[in-house]
Amino acid sequence: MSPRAAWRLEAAGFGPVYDYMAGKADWLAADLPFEGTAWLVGMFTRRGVATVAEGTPVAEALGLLEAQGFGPVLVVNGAGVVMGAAYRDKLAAASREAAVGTVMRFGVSTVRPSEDAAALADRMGHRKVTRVVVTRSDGTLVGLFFAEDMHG
Amino acid sequence: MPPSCRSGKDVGWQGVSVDQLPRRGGEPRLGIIMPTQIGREQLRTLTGEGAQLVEVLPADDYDWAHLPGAVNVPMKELDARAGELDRSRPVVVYCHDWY
Repeated sequence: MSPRAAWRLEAAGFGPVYDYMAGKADWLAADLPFEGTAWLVGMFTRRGVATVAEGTPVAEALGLLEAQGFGPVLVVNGAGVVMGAAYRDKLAAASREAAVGTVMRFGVSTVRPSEDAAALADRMGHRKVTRVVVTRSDGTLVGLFFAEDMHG
Repeated sequence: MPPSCRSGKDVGWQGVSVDQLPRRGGEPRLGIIMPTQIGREQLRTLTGEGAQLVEVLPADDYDWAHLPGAVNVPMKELDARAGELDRSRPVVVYCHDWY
């Protein structure tokens, strides 16, 4: 639709006219600010959650978990892209000197901050999932979404 | 690549196939200059420099969520309401996504 609008405005004498073709979906999935009535996942996402690198010792990750009070600890690379998640039971069972990367779970399911928050919470309820990792469209971490946070 | 927004076979409003036309900066043919496609970072730069941002989706889509500072001129009302836009400033248009 926007290409037609851009052409039409150019023809009407406006200029220059630019077309942001990836549109609103791209903007919202990048966790950028918006105006409107929508309740999106990004609005309820816990930010600044504990992160470690794959090479971080298990003992350090456990300390971060204790300080944070909820898990998992998210494993990110140098670009901030989520590579996996480390859960308390696996960390507690591992050697304290081991690298987190040896016990983390790969292939963690993620959602975008642009998803409708109520719809996601409903899906999570049906699947008995309490939290989900939120990433931008480029895979970088936003935070953790807890369904319970929808209720105040 | 979604055909409705990106295909080289897409047809412009004047019925001219865009793959017959030059890119901006090329030698204009038929007196038509193609609008420039931009990404997120270019959008931020342009709006920071004073470009006006126009969402062309219906009003209920706009009310649900829109980019900060965007005005709503639905596609169906574009001809009638184009006069509300500032001709002295660049214009950035967007819809929901590629489709």
